[in-house]
Amino acid sequence: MNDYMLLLPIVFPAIAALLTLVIKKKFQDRGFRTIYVGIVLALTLIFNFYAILNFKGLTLFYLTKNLPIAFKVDGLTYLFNSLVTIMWFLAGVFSFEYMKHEENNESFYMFYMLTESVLIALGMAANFMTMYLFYEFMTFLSLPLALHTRTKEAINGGLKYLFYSVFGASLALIGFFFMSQYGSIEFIPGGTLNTMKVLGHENLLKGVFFLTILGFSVKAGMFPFHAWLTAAHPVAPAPASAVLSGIITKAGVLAIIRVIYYQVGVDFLRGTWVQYAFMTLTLITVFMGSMMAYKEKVLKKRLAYSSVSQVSYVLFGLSTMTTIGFVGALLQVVFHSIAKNLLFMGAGAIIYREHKTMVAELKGIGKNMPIVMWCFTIGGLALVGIPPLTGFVSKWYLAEGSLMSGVPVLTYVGPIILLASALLTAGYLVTISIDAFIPGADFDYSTVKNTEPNLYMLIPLVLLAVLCFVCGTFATPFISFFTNIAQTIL
Amino acid sequence: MIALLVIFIPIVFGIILPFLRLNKNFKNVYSILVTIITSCVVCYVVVNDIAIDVTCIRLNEILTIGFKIDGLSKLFLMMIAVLWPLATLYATEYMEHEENQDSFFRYYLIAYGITVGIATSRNIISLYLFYELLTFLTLPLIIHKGDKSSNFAGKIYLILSILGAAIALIGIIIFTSVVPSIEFINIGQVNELINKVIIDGHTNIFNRLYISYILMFLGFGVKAAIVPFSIWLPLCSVAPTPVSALLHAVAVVKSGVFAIIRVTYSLFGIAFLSGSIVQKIAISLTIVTILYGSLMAVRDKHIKRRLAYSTVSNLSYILFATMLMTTDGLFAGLTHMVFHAIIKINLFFAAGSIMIYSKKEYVDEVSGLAKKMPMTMLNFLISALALIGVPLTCGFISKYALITSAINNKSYFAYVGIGAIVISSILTLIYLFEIVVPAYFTNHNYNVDAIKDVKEAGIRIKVTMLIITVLIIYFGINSNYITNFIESVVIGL
Repeated sequence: MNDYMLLLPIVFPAIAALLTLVIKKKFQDRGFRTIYVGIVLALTLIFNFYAILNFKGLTLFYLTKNLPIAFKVDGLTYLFNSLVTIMWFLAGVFSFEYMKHEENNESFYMFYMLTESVLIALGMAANFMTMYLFYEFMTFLSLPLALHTRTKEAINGGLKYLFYSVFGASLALIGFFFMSQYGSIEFIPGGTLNTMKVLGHENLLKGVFFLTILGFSVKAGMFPFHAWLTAAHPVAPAPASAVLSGIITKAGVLAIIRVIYYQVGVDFLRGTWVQYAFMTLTLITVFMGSMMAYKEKVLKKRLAYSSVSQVSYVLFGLSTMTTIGFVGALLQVVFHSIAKNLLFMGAGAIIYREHKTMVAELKGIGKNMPIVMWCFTIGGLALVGIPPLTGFVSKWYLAEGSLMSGVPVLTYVGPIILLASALLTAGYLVTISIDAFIPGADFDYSTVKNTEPNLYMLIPLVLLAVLCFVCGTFATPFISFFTNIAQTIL
Repeated sequence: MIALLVIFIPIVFGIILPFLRLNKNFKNVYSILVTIITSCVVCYVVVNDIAIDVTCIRLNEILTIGFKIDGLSKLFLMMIAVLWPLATLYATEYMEHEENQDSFFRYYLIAYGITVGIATSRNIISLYLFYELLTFLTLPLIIHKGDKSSNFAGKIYLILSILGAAIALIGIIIFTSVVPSIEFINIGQVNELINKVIIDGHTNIFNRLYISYILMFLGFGVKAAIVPFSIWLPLCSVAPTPVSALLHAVAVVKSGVFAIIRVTYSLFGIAFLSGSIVQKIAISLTIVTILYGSLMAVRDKHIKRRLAYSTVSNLSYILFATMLMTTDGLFAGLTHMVFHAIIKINLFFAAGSIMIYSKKEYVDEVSGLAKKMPMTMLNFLISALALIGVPLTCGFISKYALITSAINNKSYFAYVGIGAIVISSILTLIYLFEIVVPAYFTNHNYNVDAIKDVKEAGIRIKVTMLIITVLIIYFGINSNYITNFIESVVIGL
C-alpha cells in the first residue's frame, strides 16, 4: 500500500517555502506575502485533512537495510496533524498583523512553512527512523523562528534551544539504536520488543529507555531540562512563541507516546523504577513550573513557565500507564495547545499594541482592549481548569488516572500536586485578568483609549476562545476517540 | 604490473613537474590530468576486478616487497581515487594565493602514488616501506609556508612519525621472531599458528605476540592520531588547506587506520586478538581519544585546528569500531572511514575557502559570512550536519552502523564507547554550530565592516565543494552501493 498522496501536505508547504527564495522580490511586498502565506497555510490545512482521512500508509525508500522512511496514519496522527495544521493556520493569520513590527519577514515565513511541513511529516511517521529524522529537522528548522529578532537574548535563547534539543535527541537516539537491535523500529501498538533477545538484558534496556524518555522530554520541557524553554520561547515573535509552546512541545510528547506505547510496550515498563522516576520528574516539573510562573514578572516568560508546568501534566498522564491517564494526557495535549496559543497570542497583541511586557504594567488594560483581555481571561481560566472550559475535563481524567495507576505513594501525591498547581495557575493567570479589568481606585481613567487590534489578530483570538468553550462543553467525542486509541495500545 | 603503473604514474610525473617549467595554467591542467589518469587506472583495476599479485623485490625469504589487491585495498583505492582529483582541482584555485606551487604539486602528486602503494601492499614490510615514504614525502607539504609555526609543526610531525614507525618496526621484528610469514592473509597469520602452539603447550609465545601487536598498534596509531600521539595533527593544520583536507583528513591519517586494520585483521586475525588484554588496551585508548579530540575541538578557536581535533576524534570512532573485532564492527569502521573522508574533506574545503577569501581564521570572526559566501557556508552547514550524524546525510548511516555494532558486541567496553560517541556527537554540534549559527544569524550590532570586502570563492572551489556535498546527501539517502560493497569486503577478510 503506497499512497503517495500522503506526501502532499508534507511537500506542498515545503515547496511553497522554498519557492519564496525564487520569487524573492515579489515576496518582499507585504500584501503579496500575506495572500501567499495565507493561501499556503489554508491549502496545507485542507490537504492535510484530505490526506489523513483518505490514505493509509507509504514506504518511501530505505536509507540502508532495515531503515525505511515510511509514513502511516493512525489515531495519534489524526490528533497531532489536526492540531498542527489548525494552530499553524490561526497563528499564521495572527502573524500577518503582528509581524508588521518585525524585520526579516521573508525568512520568518519561509521557516514557518518549512516547520509546518516537517511537523506534518512527524505526525505521520510510521517508524522510529522517520520520526527521529523529522524530529531533528524540526529542531533545525524552528531554530530560526526562535532567534528571529536577532537580539542578544534571542540568539542566546536560540542557541540554548539548539543545544538542549540536540542533546535530548542524542539521548533518544541511543534508544533508537537499541530498539533496532532488540526489536523492530516500526510503531506497533503494544510495542515491538523481542522478548527472546531482551532476556538477560532487562536492566540495561530499562536504563536505555529511561534515557530515551528523558531525551524526548527535553522538547517537552521536563525538569531537569526545562531551562531552554523559558529562554527561547519568550524571545521569539509572539506567533512563533505560540506555536513553539503550543505545538512543538507536543512533538516531544508525541515522541514519548510513540516510544512508551508503540515501541517498548507498557508491560515492560509498568511497575519498574523507570515509571516511578519518570512520574516523579513530571510531578516535580508540574509543581516547579507553576511556582516559577507565579514568581515571574515578565508576561511571556510567565507563560513559558506555565507551559513547562502544563506540558508535564501530559507527561504525568502518560507516566501513569493507565487508560484513563492516557486519555487525560491526550485531552490535555489538545486543550493546552488551544489555551496556550490563545494566551501567547493575547500577550502578542498586548505587546504589539501597547508595547507592554511586564505583568505589573497590565493594570487596567482591559479597558483599552476588552476583547483581547476577555479572550486572555478565557484562556487563563481554561488552563486553571474551571468547568465548563477545556482544562477541567483533562485534569479530572489525569487525577483519576493517577489514582488508578497503583504506583506507591505517587498515586496519591499526584492529584494533590495537580490541585496545588491548579491553584497556582489561578494565582498567576487570573490575577492578571482581575488587574486588567478592575484596576482599583487609584487608576487614572483618563489614559483609557481604545487600542483593540484589527481583525487579523482578533479573529484567531476569538476563535480559540470559542474553541475553549466548545471543546470543554462537548468533550465526549474527544474522550471516546482517545479511549479508542488507548484501548489499542494498553 | 599494472599496480606498479598506478604507483609510478603520479610519482614520476610528480618528480618531473618542476623541470618542465610550465606556466601556471598548464601546471594546473597537468596536475589534474595526472591525478585523473591515475584515478582512471585505479578505477579500471577495481571495477574490472583485475587480480594483482606480484612480488617485486626479495630481501630474504621472509622480507619481500610486493603488491596484491583484495577487498580492503579496493575500498581504500576507490576512496582516494575519487577524492584526489577533486582535491587537486580545489588546490589549483587555492594555491593561486600561495607561493611555490611547483614544489606543492610535485609532492601532492607523489603522495598519491605512495598512498596507492600503501593500499596495495601485500605484506607488512611493503606497507611499512610506503608508510615511511609517506612520512618523508608529505613533510615538504606541511612546511610549505616555511614560517616558524609550520617548521615547528613539521618537526613535531617528523619526530612523532619516525618514533611511531620505529615502535611499529620493533613490533614487526618481534612478530617475525614468532611467526614465519608476514604476508597479509584473510583470517590472519597467527590463526594458523595458534592450534599448533596450543597442542605443543608453548603458550608463552602468546605474550610475545601481544607485545608485538600493541607495539604495532601504537606505532601505526601515530598517523591515526590516537591519544598520546595526537598532537601533530592539529599542529599540522598550518599547512595549505588542500594538504589539511586531503592528507590530514583522508590519505595520511587513514593510512594509519588502514595499517592498523591490516595488522589486526590480516596479520594477527581477530580470533587470536578478540577478548585479549591488548584489545582492551586498544579500545580504551580509542575511547579516550574520541573524548579528547572532541573536547579539544570545542576549546580551540582556530577553525582549521578545530577541524583537525575533530578528525582526531573521528579517526578513533573508526578504530573503536574496528577494535570491537566483530564483522559488524569492521563494517561500521570502514563505513565511517569512507563517509568521514568525504565529510571532513568538505569541511576543510569550506574552511580553506573562508580563510583565503575572507582572511578569517578564528571562530569568533565569522559573523554574517553566510551573506557574503552563501555557497561556502551552505556546504559547511550540510557537512556539519553530516558530521553530527543527522539523518539524510551519510554521517547518519555510519553513526547507525557504529552504534549498532557496539550494541551487538554486548561488552562493557562497547557500552562505554557508545556513551563516548554520543557525547562526542553532541560536542560536534557545539564546535561546528559555533561557526554556523553566527555565520547565518548575526547579532544586530555586529561589525559590518569586518566582512565588507569578502568575496565568494571562485568556480573551481565551488564546484569541488558542490560535488562532495551532493555525494554526502546522496549516500545519506541511498547508501546501498557502498554498504553492499563494504559488506563484501568485510566478508572477504
